[in-house]
This record gives sequence, C-alpha cells and structure tokens, in this order.
Amino acid sequence: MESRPVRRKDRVMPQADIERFLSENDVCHAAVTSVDGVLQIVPLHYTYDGAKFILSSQNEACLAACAEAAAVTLDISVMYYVSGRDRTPCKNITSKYRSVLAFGEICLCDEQLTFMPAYMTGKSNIKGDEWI
Amino acid sequence: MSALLQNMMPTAEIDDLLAREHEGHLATKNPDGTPYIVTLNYRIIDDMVVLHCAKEGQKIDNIKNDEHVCFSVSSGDRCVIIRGRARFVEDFAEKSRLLYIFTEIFMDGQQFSLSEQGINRTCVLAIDIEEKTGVLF
Repeated sequence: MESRPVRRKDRVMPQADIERFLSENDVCHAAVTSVDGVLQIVPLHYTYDGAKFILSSQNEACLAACAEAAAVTLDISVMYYVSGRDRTPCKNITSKYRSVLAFGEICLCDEQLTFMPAYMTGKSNIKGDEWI
Repeated sequence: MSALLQNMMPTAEIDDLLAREHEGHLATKNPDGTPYIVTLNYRIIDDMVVLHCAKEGQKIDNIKNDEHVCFSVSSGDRCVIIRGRARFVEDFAEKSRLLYIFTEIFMDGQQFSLSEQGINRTCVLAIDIEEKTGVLF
C-alpha cells in the first residue's frame, strides 16, 4: 500500500507502526463529500484487514452520508497531552497525537452478514452478540 | 419521526459538549473535490470554532481554495457536526487575543506570555458556524 508524501517528514510513522496502530484502535472519522459537494464527517467503527477497512454504524444518517459518497478519507487518531513544570505553550505544554489517514473509495456492502463475522472477530467492544 | 431526528441532541447539550471537549476533526476539500481530514485542538470563542496550526500544509491550501469546511467533535456516544466557513485571522491583536484564550485552559491559572515571533509564525483559523447538529449514536 503506497503512502502519500507528508510535509513533516520527521514525523512519518513507519509502516509497521501504522499496521499496529490500526489494529489497536477501532473508531475512525470518515470525511466524505456528498454529490452536491457538501462535506460531511461521520464517526464509525472499523476493522482493518491490511487492505481494506470495513466500516459500521447503526446510525441511518451516517450510512446515508456514506452511501452517496465515493471518495473517502479516514482519520484514526489518538491525542494526548504533554506538560512540564515550565508550562510554556507549544514547548513544555502541548498536545501530541498519533494519526493515520487513509484515502480511498467507499461503497455500501450488500452482503453485510457475510462480513459481520469477520468484522466482529477480535473486537474488544463486543460481548456475546451485543454491541456495547 | 425519522431516525435522524430521534437521535438529535438538544442545543444546550451541543454547546456543553463543544465547551467541554478540546479535540475535533476538520474536513476540507481538496482541489479535485475529494475530502481531507485532520485532528486538531479547538476552542469555541465568540461563537466561532478557533483552531491554530502551522502556516503551511494541505488543509491551509484547501481552505485558500474553498472556505467551506466541516468540523466534528465526538464524545462517547455523542457527536456534534458543524458546517461553516473558515477564515484566516490576520489581525495581530485579534490573533493574540484568541491564542491567549486558546491556551489558557492548559495553564491552570498560571501567567504566561506568547512571543511576537511565536504569534506571527502561527496560523489562527476561525470557523464562522453556519450550522451545528448533535447526534446520539
């Protein structure tokens, strides 16, 4: 899978870290553009098999927004704060985050049930048959 | 009643969530119309979403090309989605004021100063909110 060039080359995450990061998280924010050009952000659960993301939501509005889109950018991020004794903004006190952006195309899966067992495998937020 | 309306958040809850959280997601449009999204700290100041970042980058280029943006803040099973227009705050006094308010939440009441050089090299973005929607998931 190819990577896009980024402005801060000193902050590029190695591919192995990207794969681990994606496997450790399960929520993403998907940016999509509707057919009339309106931007929408949709929070979704995901699973990732190394080649594609399988996204899920029980919210009809989210699914509708995704259904009419083609291009999608996914943002999977974890933000944390760093603070030192000398609290100088942007130096000793700052926020740092790890973020993976994924660019691709989105389509609705007609055979949801086929995908659900794979989707649920290894999910830490699944107990029994119920989402929590 | 549609599923969307059933899941709508009251305005007071939307404002409370936006005031409480500090992390959001900004979507802009690439020149070819495809979406681009990044995570940023934010604060609501004077009914605007205020962001700060470096003066260069893809989101900056995108906003110069198309000011229409979408901004989203999530907390637990709630998500607020904002649509509006982003603009660059260029006035030095206004930039300073917004940056001080922006950073004071992290300072626990301690005094601090921002250098003129630091302010000048920082980009401050303000999103004038046109629409905000809160959804329960």
